[in-house]
Amino acid sequence: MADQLTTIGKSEIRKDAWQKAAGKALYTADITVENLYYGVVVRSPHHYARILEINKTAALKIPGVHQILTAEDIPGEKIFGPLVPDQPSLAQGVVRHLGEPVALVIAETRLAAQKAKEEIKIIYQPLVPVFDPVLAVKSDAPQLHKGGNLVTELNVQDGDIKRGY
Amino acid sequence: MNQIEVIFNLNGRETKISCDPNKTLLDVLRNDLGLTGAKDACGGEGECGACTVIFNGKPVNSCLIFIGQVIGQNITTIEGLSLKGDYHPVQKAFVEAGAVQCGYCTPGAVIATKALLDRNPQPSDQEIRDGLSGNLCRCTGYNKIVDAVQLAAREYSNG
Repeated sequence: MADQLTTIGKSEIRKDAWQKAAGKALYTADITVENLYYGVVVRSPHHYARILEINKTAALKIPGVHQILTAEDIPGEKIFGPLVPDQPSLAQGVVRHLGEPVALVIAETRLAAQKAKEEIKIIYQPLVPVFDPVLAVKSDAPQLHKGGNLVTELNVQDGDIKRGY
Repeated sequence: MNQIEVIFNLNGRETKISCDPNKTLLDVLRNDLGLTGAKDACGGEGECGACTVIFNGKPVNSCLIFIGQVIGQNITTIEGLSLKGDYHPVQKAFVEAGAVQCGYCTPGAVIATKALLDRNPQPSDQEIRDGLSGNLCRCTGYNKIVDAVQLAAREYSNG
């Protein structure tokens, strides 16, 4: 029976496997275009902290550095989010998790962008973080967001049980 | 910065470039020579093995090799394995064993496999795992990769 089947029980070779095994498949990082700039994200080393100062002067002097963007450079909406738009594209005044993007360096080479990243002086005032979701919703927990730490409450309901049965 | 002149053997061909001495072999392969088969997946820290090339017969992370180190040396990259248009037995084995998913680790894993089989054509399961321990796969495809190495080893012994 099984040997008469043409599809079930047979493994197909991935269409893209040959290109990938040959190192010829092009990924985004493999593509070069004219006037290409490199972006490097400067991230928070703190779990929760106030940003007191961002000094880009020294970083901007590095040859090849094009721009260094922070939240104030973003025109219009500065936040996004799938359920509740409460996530800053770049931190505004405060960082709420380790690795939160604070600034974006744009440079002609990756090396220049990385050097600039190291030269940006950011002064933080560390605050007491919260790590546990159960503790986070307690009233005495550090409040990371204006409306409290609870993102949202959603009721998910679909169909009609009574009709279904 | 003063440029240095580098002449080395790349995939069997004498290659000459002049570049900043602070560049890595991976930088030069990808940016100066347009050979993008070797990948940078960990940011040049020698963690992931996606940039593996063969340096005088040994697999190395090309992100940790300064370009000056390759002067007069022999380098084989993934592009060097299918120079004549035909695929290398290791490449065929990876494809046939289903060891290629997203493919980002694949060139490095293929190169590490070639280096392993060149010095040990019949590796044990443990030797395969040791030989490829520097190559991370985030599609969690290690079993298939080991299968591919075993398949390639059989090809080596037959051919």
